[in-house]
Amino acid sequence: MIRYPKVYRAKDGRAIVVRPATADDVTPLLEFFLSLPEEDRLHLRVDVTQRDVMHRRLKDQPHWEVVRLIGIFGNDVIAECSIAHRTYGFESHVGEMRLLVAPDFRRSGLATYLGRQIFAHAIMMDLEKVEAAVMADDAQSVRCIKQLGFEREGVLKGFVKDVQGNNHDLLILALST
Amino acid sequence: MGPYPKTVRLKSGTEVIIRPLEKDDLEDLRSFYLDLPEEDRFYLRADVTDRAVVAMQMEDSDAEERTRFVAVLGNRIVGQAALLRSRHGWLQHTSELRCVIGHDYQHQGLAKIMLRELFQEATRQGVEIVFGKLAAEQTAAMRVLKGLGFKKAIVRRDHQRTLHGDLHDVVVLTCSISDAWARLEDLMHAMDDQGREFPSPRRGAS
Repeated sequence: MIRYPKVYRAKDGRAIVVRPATADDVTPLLEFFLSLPEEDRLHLRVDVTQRDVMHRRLKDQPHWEVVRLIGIFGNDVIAECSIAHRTYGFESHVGEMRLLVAPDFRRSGLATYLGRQIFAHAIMMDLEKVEAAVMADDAQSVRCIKQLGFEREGVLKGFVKDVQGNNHDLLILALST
Repeated sequence: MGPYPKTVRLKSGTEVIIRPLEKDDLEDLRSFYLDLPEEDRFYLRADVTDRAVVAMQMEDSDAEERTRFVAVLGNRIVGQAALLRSRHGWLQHTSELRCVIGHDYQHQGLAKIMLRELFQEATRQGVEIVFGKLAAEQTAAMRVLKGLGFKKAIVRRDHQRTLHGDLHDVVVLTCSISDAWARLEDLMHAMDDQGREFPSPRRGAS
């Protein structure tokens, strides 16, 4: 059992509270996602600008186990990091990690901290493999994910379409627990 | 969606009807799943022994738009194929193809027919890239997908747990839909001439 809330002290001294998201976090999470550049929202599977979608996203879903941590600065959500895996079937030992940090808190060490926390959850969830996907030409995200120990599994050509409609390669990385 | 129901003839001469999955199909779909060998059922994405889960799987979700076809013989569903497409985000122009064929109807060209329907639907929806996942040892199905223009894109290490608990690699094959469509047409003509079979990709569905 990992105890929350925790406080992460960023490199610049700002104190960020980290804890699991709850159903009461719908509004601050909506505000967080709406504050992000549209490109950042693209890597989420659902339209997080819709309140009802966000509400359902924070509820338990059949056949899925999800741990979702949020970073809070003042009254604002400024980061979300999650791990999700199916509880049934041939891929149930594989967790998918997602990480989004507000632009103002990037390069603060927060992403690495959240990634390590989520990886600890992955171990406790008995997962054997954690996967992550980033745009291959997004150097900052690639560097961040490799710092966590993830290794490249391969590239899916043209799998990502950006807001301008241009295709990019999707880099798939994985880490064994 | 195209003109459905369609009647198609399998290699055995049996005629089956291809049509979109409907809400009334719940019990028949569940029977189809329950008749699958246990190993095949394990490769579905949900526990289909649970009626509520099958009902849920028939619906779209916030994350995924699902286009499903069934092959029907008499009152029985004998095959199911699905096009799974992200509703949102940077993968919206891609779709996963899944197909599962009843044990008694494999190796009769039914998977090929259902894949053709999925290709048509993917084209109609403006999908640009389709992909499939196969266990690394499914070499026959892989050969056929490659023949359709699919290319091995990634090997996912230890990505599949078998019913016996072993971990196996999974191969992700991808194809541009325009290439796939052109090659499928060629292959259909070639198959008509040579009477070759299309091995059923057993993994997937739901």
